[in-house]
Amino acid sequence: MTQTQAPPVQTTQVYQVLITATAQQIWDAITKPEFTSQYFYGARVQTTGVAGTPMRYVAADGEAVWGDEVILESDPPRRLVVPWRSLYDDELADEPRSRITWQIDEQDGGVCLLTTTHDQLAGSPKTAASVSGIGWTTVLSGLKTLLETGHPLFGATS
Amino acid sequence: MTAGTVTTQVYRVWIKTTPEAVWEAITSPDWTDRYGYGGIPEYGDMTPGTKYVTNAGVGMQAVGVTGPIIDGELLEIDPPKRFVLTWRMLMDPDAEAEGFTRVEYDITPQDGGVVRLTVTHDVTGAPLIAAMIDGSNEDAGAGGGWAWILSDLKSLLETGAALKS
Repeated sequence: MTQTQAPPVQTTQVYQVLITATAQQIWDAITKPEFTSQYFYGARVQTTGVAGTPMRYVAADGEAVWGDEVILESDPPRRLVVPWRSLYDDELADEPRSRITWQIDEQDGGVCLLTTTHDQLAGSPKTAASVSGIGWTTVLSGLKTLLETGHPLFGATS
Repeated sequence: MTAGTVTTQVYRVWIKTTPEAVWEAITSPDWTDRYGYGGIPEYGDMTPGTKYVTNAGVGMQAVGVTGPIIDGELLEIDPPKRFVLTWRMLMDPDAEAEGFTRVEYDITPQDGGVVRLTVTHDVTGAPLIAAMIDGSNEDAGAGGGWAWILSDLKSLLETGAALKS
């Protein structure tokens, strides 16, 4: 990158993307494995989406567990709050849990605003650096492409 | 983030398209009025040092906005990789008084026919502009800032249609 004035990594990171989809479609894309496997580095999510129950991410190999937390808050199809600890990397896994909030707001014209907030990162600088920039933006761009075109952003080209 | 406290804002979007298509979309008046706030820029011969204005586009004219809405100077032109310009908002006297900010577009091809577009907007000393571009004023009808512009651009390039918002 050629940026010389980029800000330091933020301990609260907010990412917004507008998607032509219903709130329910976005909710499903976050909570169903047939969707996450197409935009979340191939990981398959395992969850019922109910507060107090697990939300796991299992790698494409079906064995490695990348995330394994308990949902803090759930208001389908609008809001989902889940802790985050990156189990796919030992150094990151040693850092304290952070938190992810998925917020889905319907707008006019069949469009939803998806706001993904990753916060409580003050004690987890390596995780903060890992998810900033490339991490979340590829995931959210991939989610949007999948819902709007029916095809994954990354992977086989048409 | 709290509105206006981050003086350099960085936005990234990944688009299934070519670098040339992204370059056209951000520099050609044939494209710039089709997404986000719209607007018709006059970039002249696209050389560094060119002073430019961006005029209200079709959508803005429909709600009574006319004349130049942005002005500035072209600083770096390296198609289809990098476009840097200064940027002053003319639609609001207080925002205009904050002076020139700086916008950098970096277009980087990735594997698999995907392009990463990074927008770095230095809004040092321009808190009103900072709040506009981070979407803080959306509830007041000011639009959703860069997140909205780039979401719209991505939809346009990938699906052929902009968002209907």
